[in-house]
Amino acid sequence: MGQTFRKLFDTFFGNTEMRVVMLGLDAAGKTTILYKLHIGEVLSTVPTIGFNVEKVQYKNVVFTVWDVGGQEKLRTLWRHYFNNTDGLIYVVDSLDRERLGMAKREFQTIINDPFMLNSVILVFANKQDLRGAMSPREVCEGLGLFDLKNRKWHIQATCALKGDGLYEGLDWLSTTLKERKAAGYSSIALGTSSF
Amino acid sequence: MDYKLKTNRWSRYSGLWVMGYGFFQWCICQAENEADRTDWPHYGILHLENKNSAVSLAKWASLNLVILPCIECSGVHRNLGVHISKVRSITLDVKVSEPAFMELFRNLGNAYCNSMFEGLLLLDDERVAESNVPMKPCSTDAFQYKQKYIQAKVSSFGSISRFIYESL
Repeated sequence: MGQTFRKLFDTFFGNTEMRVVMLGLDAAGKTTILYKLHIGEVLSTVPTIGFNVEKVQYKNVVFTVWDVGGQEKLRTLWRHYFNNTDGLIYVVDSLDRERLGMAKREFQTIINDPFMLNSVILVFANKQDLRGAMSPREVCEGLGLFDLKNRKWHIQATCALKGDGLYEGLDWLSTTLKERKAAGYSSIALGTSSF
Repeated sequence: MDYKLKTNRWSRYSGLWVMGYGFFQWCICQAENEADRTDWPHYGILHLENKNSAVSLAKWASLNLVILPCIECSGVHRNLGVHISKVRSITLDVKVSEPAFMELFRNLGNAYCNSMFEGLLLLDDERVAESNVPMKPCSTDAFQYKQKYIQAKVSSFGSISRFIYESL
């Protein structure tokens, strides 16, 4: 009886935990976003060698966000973070038109990985405060988001320095992930692997 | 009695110990000064034959400014945006470690490129006073100081192009 009440209480008021991996090309602003969400301040960051991981609470969802370095040789390590991941946050530097093609290639590799087939996709079109930045629609077209079939995705214009759009993105992520959990999806259910 | 003798013996040599320790400290000081002078990401005071080793030591590069910053300065450069500085890692980005790029960095390098970017900054007294940038930071300086200096340098880019245009 007590157990039942406990479960009922947890479903309404308890914290849900979600594992999210944040990827993107180097200098997209991943570490700045992570610490803006975690402590609410803009830290002066240096290039990430390896990874940062922090817990971010938003409403009653605790996100464990993994932020992995984005240099070319570090990108091969990304797939080791895919297992058991509920959501992907892909950060794009909206000013970097030159490397949008490269961003697309890396993005398509991530989402076609067997471990990521079931995860929801949130794209941050970052650095919107700078003049000449691409609009979210342009980023969408550049990444080929419109061609995605049977995937849950959302694009959000952000500015990590001001914190604009970050929580809107997390809002979408938490509602979508909750819907998924309610529908009985599980990220652990997929067993096949490429290695 | 015995104990007293011992303390005397130690106290007799204590002056030597102090002198030895002082000499040791002085050596460390000298070594630090030496390190400051060869602080190549910031000063680039290296002889031509050492330039090759500087390039092989470097880990970060700005492709459009053709300079090799240290990791902290590369962080500041990344914050400026790709329209000002395109920072890549030499060890972790495949394209940069190509011989053609390395040759370019070897030929131009920090000292030459920074003499261009910093010339106006240091000549123009007003700007130095205004931005509170008295001197160039070295590797041991605080991150905020480096950031301030680089931002002051970038804000003078407009006047550099005007200077070149007028002198043509």
